[in-house]
This record gives sequence, structure tokens and C-alpha cells, in this order.
Amino acid sequence: MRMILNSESSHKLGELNPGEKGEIIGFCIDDDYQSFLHRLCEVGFIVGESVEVLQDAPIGHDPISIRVKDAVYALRREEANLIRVVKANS
Amino acid sequence: MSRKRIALVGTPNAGKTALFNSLTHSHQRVANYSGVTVESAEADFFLPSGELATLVDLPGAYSLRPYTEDESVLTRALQTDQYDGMILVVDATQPERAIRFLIEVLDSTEMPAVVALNMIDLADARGFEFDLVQFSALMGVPVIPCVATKKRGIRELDGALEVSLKNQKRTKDVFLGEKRQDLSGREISLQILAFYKKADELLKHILLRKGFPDYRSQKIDRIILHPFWGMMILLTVLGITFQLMFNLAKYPMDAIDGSFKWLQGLVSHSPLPELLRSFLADGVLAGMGGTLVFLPQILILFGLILFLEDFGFMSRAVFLLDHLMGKVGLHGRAFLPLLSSYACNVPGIMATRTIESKRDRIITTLIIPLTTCSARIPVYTLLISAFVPNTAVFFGIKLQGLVMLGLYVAGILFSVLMGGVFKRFLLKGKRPPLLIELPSYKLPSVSSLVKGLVYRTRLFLKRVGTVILVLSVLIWVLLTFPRAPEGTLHGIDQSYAGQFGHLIEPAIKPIGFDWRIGMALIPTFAAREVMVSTLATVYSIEEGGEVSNTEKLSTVIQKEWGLATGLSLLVWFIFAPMCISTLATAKRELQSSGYMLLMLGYLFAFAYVGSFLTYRLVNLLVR
Repeated sequence: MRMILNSESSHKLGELNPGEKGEIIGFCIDDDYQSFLHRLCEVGFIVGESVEVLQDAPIGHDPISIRVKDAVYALRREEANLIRVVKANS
Repeated sequence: MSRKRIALVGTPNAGKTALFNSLTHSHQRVANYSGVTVESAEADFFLPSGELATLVDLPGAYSLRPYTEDESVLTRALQTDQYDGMILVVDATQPERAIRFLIEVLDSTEMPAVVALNMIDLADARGFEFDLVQFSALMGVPVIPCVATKKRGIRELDGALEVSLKNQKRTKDVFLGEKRQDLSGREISLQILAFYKKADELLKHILLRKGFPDYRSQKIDRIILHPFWGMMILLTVLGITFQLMFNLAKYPMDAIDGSFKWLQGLVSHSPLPELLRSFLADGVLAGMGGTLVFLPQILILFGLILFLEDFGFMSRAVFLLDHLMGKVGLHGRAFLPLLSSYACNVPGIMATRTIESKRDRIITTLIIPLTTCSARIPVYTLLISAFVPNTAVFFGIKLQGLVMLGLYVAGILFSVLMGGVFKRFLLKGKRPPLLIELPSYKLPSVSSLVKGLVYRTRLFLKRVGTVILVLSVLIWVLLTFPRAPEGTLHGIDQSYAGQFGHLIEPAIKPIGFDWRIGMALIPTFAAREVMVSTLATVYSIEEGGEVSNTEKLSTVIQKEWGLATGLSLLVWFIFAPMCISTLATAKRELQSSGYMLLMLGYLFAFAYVGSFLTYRLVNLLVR
């Protein structure tokens, strides 16, 4: 597993705006979120996968909808921040 | 020879229930539990040879590493030997997920299996192309393309299943080798990755061409999840739901009510012995009719919920409301259980199984009894019509309707309040993460909706024919015996129920209830709606006349009780700390008597204090 955290091009997924795309480069390992990270992995959030933030919810701009592979998931920004991405130029 | 049992297993939103409906023709039976999204049912179907087999619909799952209680039902079921074979349903428009799920399940058991590659029409339309021969060969089981909602590929699936069942066992562990246990978090992550590499490798041989994304659903989402229009649509949908529940349901409800009244009249004027007439009219018919009257409301609410769920709207509602619900300590996923609770608290509590964290399940379950279930409506209707004048307040809006709305709002406010209290004092800690799929929009199939509603109706009728019938008879016995000597009035005073009412009168006097109300509250522990029919029985037996319909009853109680008592009873029913079914379900689902007692305790305290304050306040103001 690669871990790039301090690179300038690295962003937290929760910081992306609707319409922005990126590629997953790593995860923040947090013991409180272990089983959640496994579940993220299981539904398709894995290193190297490309993701796109589609929309955000009306109240508080949270959660956000994210497309990964052929599915769309809703994630809160806080938890999406566990995923590190590099922005892709669309 | 015993009938073969086949498990229906699949990923969420893969059309499992639609396939269940297409495969089976006979009526569904209630399996070990139910709920809206966590519905599990079984039904019989014929294999091509004419052999009868049973299909069991198991909850959907993303993987066999259970994350919700719902998913652990599946994991447990696959570990036991109760099934002879399985049908694995996967979504052809999501090939990666399909392969992962398939290899995980096929690796975990030696059970004979066939794969239903569902929604192949949508996959075709989006440009996906599969090598089905290669697919079957790599999986080691037949892969049948099908469209469950259009019944395409169903016969082929049935045939392949029968052939597979003949070969008792498959060889498992083709993909990953040995079963793994007790791994560290990091090892699990690595394992999932290794697993996916394997799945992606296999996919290269199976998927000839990748399709393009579901642009249509994304377009619909731009409207449904729109900052302004999204919220407007959500509010409109909720508004329409409740409008239909009250206005449309009125007609069939009146019809049901009318036919029971007619039957009661028929019995009352028949030449049967007096005691038998009373048993049939006041015991059996009054009790069953009083409950059956809710069927239209329950069907309308569940019909809309099923429709919205199939359409793909429910997870969008969670998306729109999660932030707001978080403010009161609830998880976005609590939306569906809470909405179901407006029909009946019992399926609402069961639907909390889809909430991942125990903490959120507990909070949601604890506040569910505060949602106004339809069983409270007749009590509200009776009391409002008796004690609230129907004057127009402004712009023709009537006070009675406003009070009804106020009771609903009171329920919501108290659930918000209690949610916050439980979050702060009882179940501290972080709100668990949200991860919910926003599936492709699909037009719900009519037959699937009809089957779902038929299933609901059967559940409900079963309850009316068993629990409610027994209770109605029991209540009638308590009200009728020991019989008063001929010619004396107020026979009910001496009945067992009357004696009990007198016994508890000192305890309920401070909140304005007399022994008759105390008596009528007893059966509400079984079913809240029985209150009205019990009162009807109490007063008709007491006056020796016919006071069975709500209108007459409302005139009677208006005379008998003061305004303070009426309003106090209304407040009591906002909390309604009764209903054995709700308490039993809460206990079973949370596997804890402690939480069940907490629920009963806080509701009871609120009801008592609320009624006490209302009674005192109204007496103070009116005099």
C-alpha cells in the first residue's frame, strides 16, 4: 500500500468540490475507523481507483455523493477525509 | 422426502426481491422476521421437473464480513446447513462488485449454486458485454443472464438450478484458498486488496467490453438532490404521503367500519341467546372491526414506502436529511424506520436493522414509540371530536384539524428532544460514519408492489385473527363476568374489569381519569386502538343501549368527562407507554430487557407527568 501524505498534490477527498475528480492514493489509518475503512475498501474505494465528487447535500454541504467504479455512494465530508486523493484534471 | 430449501442471496439493489417475486407463484409466508428493507420471506416454487421447493429471501450484503446486523443474518445462514442450494443474484451493471461478491460467497460454502446475472437489459443498453461461457467456467457454476422484473431468463435459471441440485456438492476454495480468521486490521486490509486483485484478474476474462456510467440517474440526481428543489420534492412527497393516508384512506375505512356495524346490528337483532349475541357483537366483531379499520392506512403508507424504495428515492432522502438528523443525534439511516413507524411502531423497530451501529439503533428504537402510529388515530379522532370545538381559526382552517396536526408535531418534538437527551447522557461517543449507496433509479414493477402489499395485508390479517381476536374476547369476558343480577343497572361496575378499574382509580385520579378510563386502558397494552372499542363497550353495556359508533360515543364522553379529563387523555396518548408488541419487539431486537424497561419507564413517566400537568392546568384555566 502506498502512502503519500505530504505531497503538494495530495488532497483529502472531503475537500473536493462537486464536479472535481481524483485518484485515490492512500488512507489515513485511524483505529476508530478500522471496520469502516474495510467497508470502504469492500465497496470499491481502493488505491489507484478514480473517484468523482458529484454533488453535495443542501444542508451544510454535507454529505457528498461520490462516484467510484460503477456505483455512487454518499459519504460525510469528515469521513471522506480519511481518503487521500490527487486531483485529476478534467 | 423433504422439500428442498433454496437460499436467495445477493448484493443490495441487485433486484433480489424482484427475482423472488418472478420465481415464486404461491403466497409468501412470513419467515423468521420482517421489516421494510430487511424483509425476509419464503415461498414455494416448482422446479422444471415439477418438484416443489422453497425459496428463502435472505437480506442483501456487500460482503461476508458483516457490517450491519442485517448482513450477519446472511453470514450466519450460509454457515449453517439449512439450505440445499442457493441462487446468487448480482447486478450486471456493476461487474466488479458482482465478481467480488460471487467469489467470496462461492468460496465460503460447498452448497450447489447458480448465478442470476440480473438487469442484463440495462447492462446491454449501457454497452457492457460479457463472455458468459468464460464466466460460468471461471466461477464453476452456471451463470444465467436475466431480467427479473420482465421475467426474462427465469425458466433457464430454474432449469440450471435443478441440474445443480443433482450434484450434491461443489468444490470450494477455488479462488482464495484457506479460510482466514483472527487477523489484524492491517492484515484484513491486505487481504481485501489481494482479493480484489484476484477479482479484477478474473474480470478481464469475463468482461469483454466496459459500459459507460449511468448518466440518466446522474441527471435525475441533479434535480432530486438539488439544494432547493431536492428539499421541495422531499417535503412534497412527505406531504402527499400523509394526505393520502388521511384523506384517501377515509373511504375504505368508512366502508370497513360500516360493514362491521351492519354485522353487529344483524347479530344484535338475531334470535340468538342474549349472552351469545353480546359475545359476537360486543366481543368479537367490535374488537376485530376496530383494528381492521386501519388496514387502508397501513397499506397506503407501506405502498408509498415500497414504491419510493424500489424507485431509489429512500437513500436520496437519507442523503438530504443526514446533516439535519445529525443535529438531534440521529443517523440518516433512521429516516426509513421512523417513517415506517407512522403506520406501526413494530415494523419501524425491525427496520432499524439496517443501521450499522448499535448505538444508533438503540437511540432510534427508544424514540420510535413517540412517532404517531396509526393505532393512535382513532383515539385522537374520538377525543378531538368530543372536546375540541370545530371552529374555523383563520382562512377556514379548522381548530380540530390543527389540534390533530399539533399532536403529530408534539410527537416529533419529543422524539427530537429525547434523541438529544439519550445522545448526551446515555450513549455518548462519536456518531458512526455514513456510507450509503445511491442506486440507479428504476421504475418499480407493479406486480412487485402488489405482492409486497398482499404480504403486508396477510401479516395484518393474521394479527387481527389471532392476537386481536383473543384479546377482544378476553376483554369481553372481563367486562361481562361476573354477571349482574337481573334488573340491576351498572352491571359493569361489578365485572372483573370494573373491579380492576376501581382498584387503580386512586393512582389515576390525579391525572383526571376515573375507573372507567382505567378499565379501558388495560387492553391498550395489547393494542392501542382497542381503547375506542373498549370505551364503546363500556358505555353501551352500562347504558344498556347502542352506543357503538364514534359519533355517539363522543357525545357520551363529552357529557361524562370534563374538558380537563379529555385533554389529559389526549396527552397520555402522545406517549402511550403501552403496546406489548412494541415493547416485545424492542426487547428482541436490542436483545436487552434493560433498554425495553428504560423505554417503558420514560414513556410512562412522560405520560403521567404530561397528563397531570394538562389536567391541573386546564382545571385552573377553565374555572
